[in-house]
Amino acid sequence: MSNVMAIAAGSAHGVALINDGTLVAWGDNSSGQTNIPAEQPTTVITTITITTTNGPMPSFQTNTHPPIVCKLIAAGGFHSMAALYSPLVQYPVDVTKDLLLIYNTNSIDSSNVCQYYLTHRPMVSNANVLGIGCTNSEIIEPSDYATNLAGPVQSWLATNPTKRPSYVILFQDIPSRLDTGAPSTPSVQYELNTSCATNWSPFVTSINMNGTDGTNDCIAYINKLASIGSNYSPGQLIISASAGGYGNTNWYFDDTECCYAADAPGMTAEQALIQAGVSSNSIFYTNVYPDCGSLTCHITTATNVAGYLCWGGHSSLGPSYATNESIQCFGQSTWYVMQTIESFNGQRNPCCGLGNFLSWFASNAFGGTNYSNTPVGAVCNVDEPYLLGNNNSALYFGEWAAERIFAYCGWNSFTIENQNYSHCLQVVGDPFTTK
Amino acid sequence: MKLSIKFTTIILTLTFLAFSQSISAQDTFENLDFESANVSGHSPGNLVPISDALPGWSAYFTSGTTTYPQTQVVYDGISLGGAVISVIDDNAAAFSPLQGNYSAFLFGGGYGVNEVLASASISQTGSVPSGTESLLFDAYVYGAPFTVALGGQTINMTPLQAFQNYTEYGGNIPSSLAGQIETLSFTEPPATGAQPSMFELDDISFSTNAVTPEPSIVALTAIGGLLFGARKGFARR
Repeated sequence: MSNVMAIAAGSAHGVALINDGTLVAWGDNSSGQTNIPAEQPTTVITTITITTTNGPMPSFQTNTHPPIVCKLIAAGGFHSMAALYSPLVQYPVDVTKDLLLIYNTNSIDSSNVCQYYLTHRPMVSNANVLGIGCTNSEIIEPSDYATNLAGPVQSWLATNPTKRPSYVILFQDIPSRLDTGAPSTPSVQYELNTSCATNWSPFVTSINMNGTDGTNDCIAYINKLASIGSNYSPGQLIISASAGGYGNTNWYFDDTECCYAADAPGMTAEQALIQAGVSSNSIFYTNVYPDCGSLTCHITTATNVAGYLCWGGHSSLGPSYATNESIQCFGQSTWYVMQTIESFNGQRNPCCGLGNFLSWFASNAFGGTNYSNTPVGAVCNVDEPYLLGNNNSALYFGEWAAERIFAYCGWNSFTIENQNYSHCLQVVGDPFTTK
Repeated sequence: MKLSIKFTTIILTLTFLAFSQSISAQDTFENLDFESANVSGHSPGNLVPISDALPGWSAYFTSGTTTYPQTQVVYDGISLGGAVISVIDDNAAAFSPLQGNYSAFLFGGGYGVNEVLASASISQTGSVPSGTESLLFDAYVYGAPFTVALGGQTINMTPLQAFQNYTEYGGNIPSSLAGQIETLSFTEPPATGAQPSMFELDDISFSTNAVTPEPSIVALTAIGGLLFGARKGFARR
């Protein structure tokens, strides 16, 4: 037997967890303790409905490419147990096995940011680190990707058969777009998630909010993780600000937009939050169609932000909405997630009159100073997603309200329906943060 | 020998049929209402060969002097800023066909890996019916104004009648083009500001009547122009 990730022993039987997520059991079967349900190792949970004291929450669809299905095993005298992986259950993450950090050896900035993350972000110092040497451009050619990005990751997996990290972080200067020649280029995150290795579909996120100009924004982001971590979740890998009393309680959904009358993603997000038990008094929603042509119909001030959505460049906010003080945040507004409805917002260079994720993480973003009002996580697109290919706002904000980890919020909002349209999702931020 | 003659006859017949078929295809504009789309087997969001999605039409993006011909278009793809050519049905988000089951949808915007700003066009070559005086179609437009060209000449299109979700446009064509084989093209340029640029198109037809905009439309346009001029005048002061 090879590629064993974990082993458990009973009185006269044993159970092993293999790195493809399957289980092997042997020995005494007098109580059926070695009977592995045939369907379990390949079961994909597609819909989970959770009931809370406030009634049922919306059904959350899990990612279609879940990480390893079986995560934990245990054995008693005459019984065996296995825990199926579900990001809805926050099992104790072992970063020595479950977190892989990837940086680009051709960029000193990439190396520095990765190293800074290892040494300053709480509880990750023992994570796995992989340096790869590919282009540090935003766009990578297929041959470079296969040889110098996916290839080294595949080699790392082969030489570490007892590790199948469910979480991968790509640092600054790792390319984000794969030039396949298709009209809409897929993201490197998507490619790694879906096709890097058999039976491996990690939640890939990026800490790349600097583009190519220095490392200040990335370092400031990591400093925020360290600060909120030590002040609100000391000693915890999964950092929750609200659990420690941080006041990120309000949600702002600005659906005011130019010309997509029938589509109101902010409204679906609002409904998801209400179903999740969030007070309607904490949700601020606006929808003016068509856009009124000025800022008067938009949400321009926000306090104690937990989530923010707007139509960015498709409205009178214009493409510079994040940094031109059109929108100003106040109070405790440094631990929220955001999404905008616009193409190309995950590219390094703003395009076509649209917004850009780098500006969301800038020091003066959303009326702040010294990064005071930047988000802790964001979803964006590295190419045209089409209207239906954008992230599902209800799932994205609904999961964040339900205090799922950010990696899951981002990836889970990329539903089967989205994937018919586009593969250009980019999830930006630390995977182990919750509201 | 007889066999050879028969074989030659068959070949000539097939050649003639193919030739006449080709002439016929070139001769008559087709699929002007976009109802010939065949997207069966494709999911919304997928790329579909243009011969299935927009039979009879060619599609291309243009940036500066460079043209990028397209062999596929998107089924139900509603752009959020990219240059997109799409055929839509009732499965599209936020929009539906203007008439019947299908409409064409052109979006100007970012195109290609480097996201150059590009216009989106469809075109078709055919015979302009004799006696044609005008071109009519239904459209929903947002952002940059579309352009229509026939035989390389821009046709000045005028809104004729406004309906709830679309406007009927008409434009008079030069009499010299009637009865000629010409190329008809529809183009949506890229956005010039933050707004997207979209042009949904349906029910194209040639008419033997010249176009005369309804007085109300003309009046509204004139009043709008006067108000705009007055506003600019005030602004200058």
